[in-house]
Amino acid sequence: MNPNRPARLNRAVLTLLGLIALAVGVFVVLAGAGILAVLLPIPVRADVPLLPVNPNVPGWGPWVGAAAAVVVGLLALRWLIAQTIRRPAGSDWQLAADTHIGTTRINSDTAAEPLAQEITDYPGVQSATARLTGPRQHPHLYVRVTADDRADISALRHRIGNDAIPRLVQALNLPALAADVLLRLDTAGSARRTR
Amino acid sequence: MIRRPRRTIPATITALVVLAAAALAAVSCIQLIAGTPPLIPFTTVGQFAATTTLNNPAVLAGGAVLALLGVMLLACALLPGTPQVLALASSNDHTDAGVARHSLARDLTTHARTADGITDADVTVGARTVQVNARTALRDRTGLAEQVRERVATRLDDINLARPARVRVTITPDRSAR
Repeated sequence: MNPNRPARLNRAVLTLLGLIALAVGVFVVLAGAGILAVLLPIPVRADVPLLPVNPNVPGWGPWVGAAAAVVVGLLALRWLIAQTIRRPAGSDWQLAADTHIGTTRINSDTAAEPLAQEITDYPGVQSATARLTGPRQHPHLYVRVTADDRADISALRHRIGNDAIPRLVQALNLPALAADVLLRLDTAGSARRTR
Repeated sequence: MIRRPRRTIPATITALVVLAAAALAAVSCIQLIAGTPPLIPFTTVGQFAATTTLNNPAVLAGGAVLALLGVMLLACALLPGTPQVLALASSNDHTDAGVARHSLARDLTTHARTADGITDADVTVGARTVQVNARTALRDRTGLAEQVRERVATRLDDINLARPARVRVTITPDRSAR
């Protein structure tokens, strides 16, 4: 799953709409300037009206129009809502080895919470959030760490990679864990120099 | 772990425009079915279309505007833009790490300011370069740039970007502090 949501969706939809607008615009300009009639074998005349004087709209016309507009509107709304959803969703994981006796379920977000707590306690860290996504066989961990400007970044990364993440892998008995660590450096907590 | 801009602003504007147009069209069609005069005057639009030809200047201009809009949308979608997250050198196989570019610029600014004789600094972080503009009230500016460069480079070494950035330092006189 793409962690930089909704970048991919936005690029795809913007490309599609851009291509449609460009194609229609270029067609109108070429047809209107009479160039299309030269290029294409079929006659495209630029001097006839766009629509006949009394277009014969069938009775189902408005119904189809309304339905199409509602579908397009809902898709646009879905796209708009996607702008606010940035984090991949967690899911329920089944932890018990033998499901005949019983099941143990844990939400993957809850499972990542202790990791965030642990990282928050490291020196120089102001806050940390962690999210586990994907199926339990192929989990992906997203960590966001906000560190201040006096934090030793290489030591911090070393502790995250060699202490915190292996501990989580062990606690949840995961096969492997791919992780993305996004670091933010915050200067707000530092003592500003007096001038 | 390089992350490009999300294009949220063009996406939001386009989605809002499409949503508004779709709502208007849907309401008009339903009004037409219900027998009330629709918001979009379909009869007037039909009369205009029946008396206008493709080589009408207004239609040509409309087509040109639409084509230009298409090019703008494509540019928003396809130009990569400056990365918002810069990759850090990898420490092990399973973990990707990155640092938020604007936060790195702010961090380097605080570090550049700690150099002796520097009153203020601006840092711009690009995909491959770090541009430091430091101000000083001192008349003798020899060695200042090296000092600032060293502070910034030390911090960058600690952060350890996957693609090491070139550091450029300029020192400008700070008249207000004199």
